Amino acid sequence: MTEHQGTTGTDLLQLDRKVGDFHYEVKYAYDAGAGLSEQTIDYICEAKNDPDWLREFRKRALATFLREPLPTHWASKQLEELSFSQIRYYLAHGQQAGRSWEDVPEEVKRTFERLGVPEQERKFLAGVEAQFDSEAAYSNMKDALRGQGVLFVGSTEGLHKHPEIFRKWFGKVIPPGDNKFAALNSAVFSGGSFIYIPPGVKVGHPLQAYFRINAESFGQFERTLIIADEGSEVTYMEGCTAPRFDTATLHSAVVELVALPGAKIQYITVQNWSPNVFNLVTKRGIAMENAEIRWIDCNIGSRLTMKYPAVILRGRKARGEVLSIALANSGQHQDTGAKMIHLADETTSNIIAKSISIGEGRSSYRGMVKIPNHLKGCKNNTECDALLINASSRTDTYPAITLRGNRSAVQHEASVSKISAEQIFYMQQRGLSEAEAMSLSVNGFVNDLVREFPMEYSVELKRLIDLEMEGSVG
Amino acid sequence: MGVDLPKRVILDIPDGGAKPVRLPRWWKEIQDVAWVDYERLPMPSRKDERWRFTDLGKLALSGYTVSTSVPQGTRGELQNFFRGGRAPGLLFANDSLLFSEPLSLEAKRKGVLLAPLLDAAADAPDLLKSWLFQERVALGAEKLETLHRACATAGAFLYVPAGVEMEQHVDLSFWLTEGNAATFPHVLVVLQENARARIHLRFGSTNSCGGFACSVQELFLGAGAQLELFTRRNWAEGTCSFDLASVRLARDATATTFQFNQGGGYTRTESRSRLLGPGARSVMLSATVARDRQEFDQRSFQEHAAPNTKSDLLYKNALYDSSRTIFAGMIDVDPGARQTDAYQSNRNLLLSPDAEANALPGLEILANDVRCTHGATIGQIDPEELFYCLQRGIPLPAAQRLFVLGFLTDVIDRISDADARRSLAEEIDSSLNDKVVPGSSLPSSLRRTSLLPPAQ
Repeated sequence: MTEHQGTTGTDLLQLDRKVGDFHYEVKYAYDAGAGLSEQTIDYICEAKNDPDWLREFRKRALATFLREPLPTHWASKQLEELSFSQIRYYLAHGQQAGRSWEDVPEEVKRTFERLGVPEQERKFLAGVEAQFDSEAAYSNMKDALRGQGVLFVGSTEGLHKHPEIFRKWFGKVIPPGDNKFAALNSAVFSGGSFIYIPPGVKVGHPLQAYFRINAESFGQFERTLIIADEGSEVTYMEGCTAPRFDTATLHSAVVELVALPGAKIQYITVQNWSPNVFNLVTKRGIAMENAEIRWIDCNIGSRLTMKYPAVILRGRKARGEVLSIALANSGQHQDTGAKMIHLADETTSNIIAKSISIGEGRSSYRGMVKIPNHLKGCKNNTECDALLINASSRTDTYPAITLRGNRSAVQHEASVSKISAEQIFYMQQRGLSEAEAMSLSVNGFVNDLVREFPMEYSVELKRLIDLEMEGSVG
Repeated sequence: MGVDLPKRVILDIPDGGAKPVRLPRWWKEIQDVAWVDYERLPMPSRKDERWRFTDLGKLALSGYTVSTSVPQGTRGELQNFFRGGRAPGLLFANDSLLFSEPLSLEAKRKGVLLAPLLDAAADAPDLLKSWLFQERVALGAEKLETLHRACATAGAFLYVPAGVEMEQHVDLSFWLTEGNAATFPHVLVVLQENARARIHLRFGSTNSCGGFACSVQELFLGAGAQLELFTRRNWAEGTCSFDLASVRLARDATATTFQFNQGGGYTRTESRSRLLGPGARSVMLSATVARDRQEFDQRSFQEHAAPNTKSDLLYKNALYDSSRTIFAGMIDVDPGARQTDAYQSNRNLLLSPDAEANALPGLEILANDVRCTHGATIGQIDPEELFYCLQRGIPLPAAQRLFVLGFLTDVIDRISDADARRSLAEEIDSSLNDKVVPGSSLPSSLRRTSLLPPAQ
């Protein structure tokens, strides 16, 4: 079986990639040009009518970005292929997002219709924001939620209209100096969502953001800030696609979550960028007393993804969770993981990461768990499992665990395996084709995680995995 | 920051009766090249992943001298210890050979060679030359490995010809006797096809505080060879030590290495297992009792370069007081290494609110037909189990001691040699006595035999 697995199964992701791999010509009203300098920042500030404090903030972040080296002493050398001077940092059609799809420019609307965004909105979403390159083209939310005081707007609107909440948390969970790419985002960010859920409000249906990169050699730098006030609950989903270009495209987002006492935030990502996208994202949440933050992260696309969602467990009995599925096909490196920083007693965290490497794909897990010595009753559980489909597939695991003091406990376990030949044989005996058997095995491998996704997504995920698997056996 | 060991100290003949070191030219050339490299190589830095979590402040050293003389009284103490062993072996202190016990006539007749490196350089230069300094461990401490190469003259060479199975084990021990002394022990073991050997290796101090040690082990196993190596490490308080070991395994060779660590100030061990032939198998075991402000920094590398190889690593640490441990392991599976079975496990038991355990278990897998697993746990004794013991009248310290003993004995149970298992269990047992008497780094079992008259 391994024989012909080794030769085929290299080019399978194309089938589902096609969903996002199209491109309409769009005329941009705003274009900051290629390259990054103080002028670029000024251009963005003028275009977005930023207040002075933000202009200062951006410029300080730019200095940090220029000063910091690339993290190539531990990360992939592929980062060196990024040419920061050839990327376009700001491209926008207009400054105002439409409240209804009629207000959205024709070619942009066509794009989102083809991706099925309006249709999903009608079916099961409480609110949608659709970002096209640097700015949101569409943003709407169910009236009932607006009545309850829920805010779901773009980051620009958030900072202009609700500065009292926005400024309190903006850049606090992830300061610009956190890492080189967080600094880059802080310097040139545009778009993303700002969400505020008032105390006690439980948003039943998910809010969704859809991120679309349309232009070539473009960098998308959205900035999302979600604040769930005491006892509130919200689920946020993001999807992303881009057409396939020959040049490298950069996506470098910063996502900050704040779960105040007793709040629950669930953040779901289905990342399906085209294979020329560098996806370098900083995601971190802070959970206060009794609060819960869950990152559910699915990475299927991009060329190189580096993403390690983190939870800072700041309040007593706070809970953090990262569930991660990564699928790396030939030409892809999914470098994903999780961080759990325990800062209060009786905090618990759970990390479950599953990766599948197909063809020459490489998936890596990088984790960090820290429990200092003055805490008691903290617990962490980490499980990471990797499945290697072809003989040339690759996987790595690099967790880092620090525990001080004898009043907490950590456990970590990882395994790497291939699909058991006996299982496949068993299923073939019962009349399944080899491809069906493989697909069933892989679906079984990720099944308990896929179930955590909302229904509509988990069906879609299973279909994607089936498609991927089809060609990896003869 | 830097180890202050100027070149001339090595080349000059120190006073105090130590014999002048006469090195053959080829060896001297190796030293000279190493000195140049040593000066060129950078000190370990915080940016280097291979030094992650290490408290680099503990590496700041200076003022050690090579070939410090051994006082007469200490000599007697060590002699007593050496008699306790009664197996072929060598005992070095401050890099001088003090005592040796020859191989049995039978072993000699079969062609087994056990000699200090300097004697081997004189008597069997070609044989020594083809093995000495052939391996690099290179898990981060390249600078120190190079320093060792520039300074090492003391050490043992064990050569076992094809098909010879040694009946007796070999005892090798390396001691520091002064707080300002440095030692660079080298252990070179060559087992030819289907040869078999057991070695007990001991590192320790007779002084109560300080010292510097940087040892290298080169272990070569031919096809079907079997090696069991038991290392006991118990340096004096505040000693900074490095032990860099590499084992090469050809087809169907089996190595079991066990380390028991206690004492010292900063102790770094680097262990590399290179599984180069199909069917090779390496078992890597370690048990550590960390106390006071001691830091044990253990790095391991399981390199699977051939199909059907197996490695199994188990490192267990019990941490008291403000001690720290670091475990950083890597399993590396080459593209051609089908049917690899690799396991790596690090378990830490924290016994104090100020102890800190760091675990960095890692996998890098480039083949798909494999079974690789790793696990790391950091935890405490279950309070309910302690409560159960207290209820039954077992006082808290005794109960805690029992749990730690059980926790560490688990590692020893993997050793097949019954004698080694028994003596190691005794040693672990006595190391758990509340406070070790200062200056008594000799194991209690051996102290008893050497100091008390035998019972009639």
